[in-house]
Amino acid sequence: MSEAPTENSAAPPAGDEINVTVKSSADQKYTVSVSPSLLVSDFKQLLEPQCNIPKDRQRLIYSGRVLKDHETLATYKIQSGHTIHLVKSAAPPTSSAPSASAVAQPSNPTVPQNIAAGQGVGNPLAGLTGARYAGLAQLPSASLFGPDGGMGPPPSEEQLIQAMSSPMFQQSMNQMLQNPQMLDYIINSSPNLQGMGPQVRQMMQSEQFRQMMTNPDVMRQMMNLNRMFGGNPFGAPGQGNQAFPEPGRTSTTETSNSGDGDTQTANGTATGANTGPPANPFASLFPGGLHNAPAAGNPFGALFNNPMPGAPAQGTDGNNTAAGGNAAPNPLFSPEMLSLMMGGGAPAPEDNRPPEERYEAQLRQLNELGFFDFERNVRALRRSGGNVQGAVEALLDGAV
Amino acid sequence: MSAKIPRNFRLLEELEKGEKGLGAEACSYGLTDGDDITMSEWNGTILGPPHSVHENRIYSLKLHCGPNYPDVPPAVQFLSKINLPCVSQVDGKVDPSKLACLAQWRRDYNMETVLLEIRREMATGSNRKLPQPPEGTTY
Repeated sequence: MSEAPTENSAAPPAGDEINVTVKSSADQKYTVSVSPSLLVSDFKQLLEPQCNIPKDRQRLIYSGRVLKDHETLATYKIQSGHTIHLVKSAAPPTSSAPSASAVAQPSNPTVPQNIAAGQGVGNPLAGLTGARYAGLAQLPSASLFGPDGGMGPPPSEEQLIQAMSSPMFQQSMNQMLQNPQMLDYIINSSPNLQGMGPQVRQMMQSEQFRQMMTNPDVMRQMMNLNRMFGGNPFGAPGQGNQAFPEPGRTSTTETSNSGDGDTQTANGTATGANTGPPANPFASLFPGGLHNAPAAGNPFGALFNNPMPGAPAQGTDGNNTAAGGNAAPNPLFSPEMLSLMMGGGAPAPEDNRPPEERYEAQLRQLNELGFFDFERNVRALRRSGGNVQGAVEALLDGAV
Repeated sequence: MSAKIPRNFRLLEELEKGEKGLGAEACSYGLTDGDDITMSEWNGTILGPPHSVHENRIYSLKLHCGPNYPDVPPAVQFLSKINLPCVSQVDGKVDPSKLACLAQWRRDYNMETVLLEIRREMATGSNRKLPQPPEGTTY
């Protein structure tokens, strides 16, 4: 410890003063001589000129405790020669670091946070959908996200499953289902659920349902089942093999395909009421399958549209991304289906979408990795079949 | 070298380190009650790692060093609410099986090791983006 004599003893010269060392970040150290009976708030005042941190932004830690303003130093039994840590707190307008609790407060903004998904005013899910919620709030600028506000293409099934098994997702799902307002919204936004009466609420709040929602095995099983029936995982037909409508897509971009959707949802409604349906436990819960319902009609669609924080990272292992990016228009002959039958690695059917759309997620990842040459990125992605890792290798090798 | 440092010597050493701030700056620890001669109940704080949702946050924890410490790891419990895979959302207890330094405890580990490991856990790729409960809320 620096035994430097106190040069700046502004404290009252009362009896037994103690010398405490205040350590702040950047290895700055101050030695202050004070009376133990000094209030913490006064102590901070004393530090202000030395450390150049306003009093109300100083946080003092001693022996594993945060010092409270209204206590005296003696309360914490601080003795001579001991060290107090000084931490500067964030600037008062702490707009950064959105907390999970914001989700539970649907009253905040009156401006829809996510126009792309068709979410309206007062939609409690709106906060869930933005890039903010995906934990990307601290990224340098909004321009990093695509024109759709960072939504990206719907995640592939594997990504979905992985995202759903993340504790964050489970937590938000739990929070959502515990919030009565949220349940009201979900139920009201779907005629199917409305028709099912009070049992729906009970079911959604049941532990079993929550487990089901967050159990990757159940999800996988369900997706497999659905694929066999030619539907897609969440009972929203007409979207190719993509689980959810694309953010920018409106009802006019769809070609009508509501036939099997109706039977599917009807089937789901019948079985959904008794909580443990064997066939498709989710059809009734994702009733987006009604005649080209817009994104907002599917209460969970918006949630899943959002690339979960885990998803982009997982995408880098290639296969998932490839499957997600090369979405084929024919649900019966999806790449996933093919790869399932052929033991993986099947070539995807011809995809004639423009590269910036087709490789949107991958291109964004490459940008994040510092590859900004669009043309080269696209060439590299083409070579690697949409595999980001492969593309990076090609870019680094100078092969493209 | 083969002599084992007895529990109380170890804890006194850690106490001094904590009080005088000789250890890492990112965490701090000390006896909950300075008069506790068994030196069992400890307070700890972790300063949230930068470039994460935890930045600028201070997390308070409770550590319990049982009679067999340091042969067995301390029991660690968060007082501040935190969303972290190894922390129970019910009571803030750190699951020893999910934190490597507790699961593979070694006698030469100490409370600082634990606090720094938890802090490192906060800063890992997926954890540093987890949405967190409002600052200042407690279990």
